[in-house]
Amino acid sequence: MTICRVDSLSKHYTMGETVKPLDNVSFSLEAGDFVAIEGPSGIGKSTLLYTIAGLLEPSEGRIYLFEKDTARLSEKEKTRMRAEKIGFVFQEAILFQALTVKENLFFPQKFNKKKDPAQIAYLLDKFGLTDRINFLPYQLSVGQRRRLVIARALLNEPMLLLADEPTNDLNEAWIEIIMESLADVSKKGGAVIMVTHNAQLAMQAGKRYYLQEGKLAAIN
Amino acid sequence: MWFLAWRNSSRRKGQSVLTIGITALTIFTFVLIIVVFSTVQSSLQLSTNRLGADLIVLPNKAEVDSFQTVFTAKPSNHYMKRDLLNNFAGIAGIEQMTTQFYTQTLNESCCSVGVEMRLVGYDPESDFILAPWFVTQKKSSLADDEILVGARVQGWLGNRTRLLGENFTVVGQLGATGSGMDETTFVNIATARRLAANSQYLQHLWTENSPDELISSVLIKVDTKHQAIDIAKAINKMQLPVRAYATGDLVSSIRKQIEAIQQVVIGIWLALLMVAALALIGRFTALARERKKEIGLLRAIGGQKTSVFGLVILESGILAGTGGLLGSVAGVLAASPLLKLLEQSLQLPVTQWSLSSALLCALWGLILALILGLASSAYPAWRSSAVSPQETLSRGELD
Ligand SMILES: Nc1ncnc2c1ncn2[C@@H]1O[C@H](COP(=O)(O)OP(=O)(O)OP(=O)(O)O)[C@@H](O)[C@H]1O
Ligand SMILES: [Mg+2]
Repeated sequence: MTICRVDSLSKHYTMGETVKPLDNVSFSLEAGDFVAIEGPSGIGKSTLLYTIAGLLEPSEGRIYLFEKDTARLSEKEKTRMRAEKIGFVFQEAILFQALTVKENLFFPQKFNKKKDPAQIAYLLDKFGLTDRINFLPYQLSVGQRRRLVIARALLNEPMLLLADEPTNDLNEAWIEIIMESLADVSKKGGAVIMVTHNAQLAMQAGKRYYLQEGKLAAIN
Repeated sequence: MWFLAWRNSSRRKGQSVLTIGITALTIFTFVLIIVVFSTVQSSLQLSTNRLGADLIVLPNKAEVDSFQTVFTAKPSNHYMKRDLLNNFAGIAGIEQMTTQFYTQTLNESCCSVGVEMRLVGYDPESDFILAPWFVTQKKSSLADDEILVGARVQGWLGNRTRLLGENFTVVGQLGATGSGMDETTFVNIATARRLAANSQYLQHLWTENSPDELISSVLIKVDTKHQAIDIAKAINKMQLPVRAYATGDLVSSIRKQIEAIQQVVIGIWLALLMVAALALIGRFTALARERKKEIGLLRAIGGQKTSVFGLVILESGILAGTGGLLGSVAGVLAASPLLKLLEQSLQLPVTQWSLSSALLCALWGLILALILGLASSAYPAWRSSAVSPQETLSRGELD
């Protein structure tokens, strides 16, 4: 199954002068794909992920998710799709500041039908947060926060995982665990897009792309 | 969404306290104003209805305050000659007419009540003010050693009491009227005169006339064909050393004054409301802005636009509701002492207000708080839900 197909996608921001981070980008992701996207800072990698997730409207082009044209989906349907099938790791570790570690996982579960305390416990354990479940985000280290947002992205067992520099702020051992978790998603028949500045990690992905001047080029 | 809204409100204490404080203060003043004015207004209304007389004639002397005489029980020793009454015989429209003689209990007397209060002698021959009570009690009049007390006269020990050196039996208590009658002690007019004549403190009043020749007030009931105000005019035209007041008129003039004050106070309160609304809009905008990233996150994890809108509205509802509740309760609690103070300092009649009206005021306060909260968070809520998630997620504070 084609999980994600991007067809001639362009995105420009106009704020005084126009920035065009994506210019006629096309590619597709099949079930089982694990893709790494590299590229210089400020080039449009995050923009690409936001657009795919439907958090940002494309200027031109089409995005098909799970073989559905997102332009034909209502805002509501797109939101549902995010809740049920997509996991997103933001470049910045954004958390609900008034919720504890556990609540930060418990609350998102309300949006998809799976209510699974065992899954929460499993992820907390996997990402080494079990002894911090009642801490508020400000009481966590930067790396702990990073692990928590990754746990959150995996919570709904996503078919499409969009991870924007997921390994930031972490040491080797944790990076390994996270790379395994991402690979797991693709092994289970999902697809993963990982943005990274680390060529070593990019090599662990099945496919590598490089984004520059609005164009996405495959690296072999 | 309740969950997140509740956590946001309860775990950001400093922020919440500020918002709750602004709301609570606004609602507190609102409840207080409403309670005070509505109680005073309704007390005035009640007082006129229950006074029993349409017209009161008092001596025309500088120290006589007609309003105070009618509506409070502040002792007042003012007198006019009894034979002035003869002049009223020719006036058409007077259905009933009776006289009263005022004196007071003295606080230095050893065994009586602690405070000085008005002691009124009523005329059993012509009385129509206390008459309804006598009818229900199947009693004809007060004997010389009997007293009848108003609804709010307190502190009588048992059934017997001592007033100005004489022993009396309390034979009954009148129902509440909201007028000065509630704090008055009644005796028959002969007794009142005798007590006054014998009191060492009042001797200076009897240099010209003895108490037997004097009265303090004339109370008149007007028949249905005439207007109290016309009869008052007729009496006032006679050039006697008296002045007649239509009791309804007395009330409406004081009511006009109160309404004027009320308008000013409400004006000031409206200004306060505007300030509070602006402050709250600022608070809720800041709250939404501060949480921009979380709002983007909410959208990213599958929260609909309506959820975002609902979140901001709910949070402001929780904060405003809490503030409203606190303000209402504080307002209701503060109202009683304030009413007492007003009663004492302004000599306004104030009826007791009930639990149900307290609850009603508190409810109104709460409703107003919620309206205030919702109105001031509607715009920030709408903006938060309308903005693109990417912008809220990736952009900073400047905007
Ligand atoms: N809301 C916006 N309005 C205007 N310009 C924007 C907006 N968001 C991003 N941009 C611009 O789009 C370009 C691409 O931004 P993007 O965040 O996608 O870069 P990136 O490749 O993820 O960079 P980095 O590796 O530093 O995270 C940048 O030049 C940025 O200035
Ligand atoms: Mg980026």
